[in-house]
Amino acid sequence: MMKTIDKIGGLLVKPDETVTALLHGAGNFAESVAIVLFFSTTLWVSIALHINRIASAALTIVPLEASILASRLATPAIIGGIVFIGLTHDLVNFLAGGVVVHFVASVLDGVGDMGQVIVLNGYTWVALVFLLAGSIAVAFSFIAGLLVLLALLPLTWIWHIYLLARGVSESHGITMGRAFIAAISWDLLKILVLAVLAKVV
Amino acid sequence: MPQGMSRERIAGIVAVTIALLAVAAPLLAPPPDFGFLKKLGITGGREALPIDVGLGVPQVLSIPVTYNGSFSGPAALEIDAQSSIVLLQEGGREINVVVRGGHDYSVSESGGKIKVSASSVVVVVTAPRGSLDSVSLKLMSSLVNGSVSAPLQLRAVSTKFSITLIAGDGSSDLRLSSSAGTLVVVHEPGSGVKLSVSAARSVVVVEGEYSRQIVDGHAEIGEGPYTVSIDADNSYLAVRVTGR
Repeated sequence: MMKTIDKIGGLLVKPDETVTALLHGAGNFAESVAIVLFFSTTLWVSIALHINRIASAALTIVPLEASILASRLATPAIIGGIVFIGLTHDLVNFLAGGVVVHFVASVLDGVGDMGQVIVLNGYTWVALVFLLAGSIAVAFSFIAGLLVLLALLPLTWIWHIYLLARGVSESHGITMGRAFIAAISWDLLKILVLAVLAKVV
Repeated sequence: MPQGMSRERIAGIVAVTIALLAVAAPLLAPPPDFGFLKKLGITGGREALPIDVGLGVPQVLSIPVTYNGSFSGPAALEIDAQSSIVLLQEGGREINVVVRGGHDYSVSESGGKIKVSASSVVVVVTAPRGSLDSVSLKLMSSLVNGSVSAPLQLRAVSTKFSITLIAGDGSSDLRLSSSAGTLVVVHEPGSGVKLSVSAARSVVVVEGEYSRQIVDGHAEIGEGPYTVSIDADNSYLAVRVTGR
């Protein structure tokens, strides 16, 4: 029986086999949620700490004692707020994304279980490991780290989409092309909504 | 690879380690280096920068303002000095601050904004001989009208253009070319020497606790003590001292 650590690693080094295994009984909802929470929490805590750290350093440029005091008071709130918003965002992505991807896959003649897509969607959060690696780079070299992070951003997204498409293709019996469309549908929908909101506002 | 450990497990351990390190890294890493901002002309420093001032030697400290904007809200100069300090703001509105005594002193501008359009703020530190051992200056400000906050950093200016005139020296001429920096003429109190200044551009003459400005002209100033601070971009400057 595969352990969680093996599934995490498997999705990085043996994605096809691991996705197949997850769709055939190796995956479960609780573990999927745990993976989402682990990678999401570490990412957003890391981001919050970076923001706090950079803001602290920036205060040496904005020399206001009041700002420092405000920063000290606000630090726990800022970090907590960022982590809370980030986690909420990721949990919505996890659940709503799974539903939308399943729906689009069904429209594209796919037949499968929505629960499987949601569970698989959670496992794809392991792709955040690339962003987390970039976050380490930012900590030790600000500019170079940001460049590394920018380079890893598309890789993270591609890896996440690939895993999802691979799973949807197998679970819904559709081609990889259609599964890819289904996999990116949630992100496209978000972009569309944001564009409409931007135009309205 | 440890015996019996699969590639997946190793990759999983690495991934989890990376995730945990990503949390620890911002806590363990040194503060980010914003040195690149300085290369862009944005300098800063909230901390008070101690400036060693030699005994009895007046110093001119230039505070480069690399951003044109306006101060609003708290804009204060904190000075911890053992003697008098005069702050001059080049261009626009002048601020004259005289601080006496060896204690923390804070001066806040109130009742409006302080416009800064000059390239530098000049702080002139004057002290009787032997009375000033050290001075620590901290200029605190916040720029609101702009996306970038302009940090102010104290920077000691070379004193190679400073001349000290001693009673009985007769006359002395000094000519500076453009961008020569800030010139300080120090005059011994009570020597009866008169100072004559002419310059291509504005000259700020500080006498004791007040200042007056001579613009594009020539002026004869009475007995000292006084310190003359002149814009760095004066294209022509002549200082003549006459007296005994």
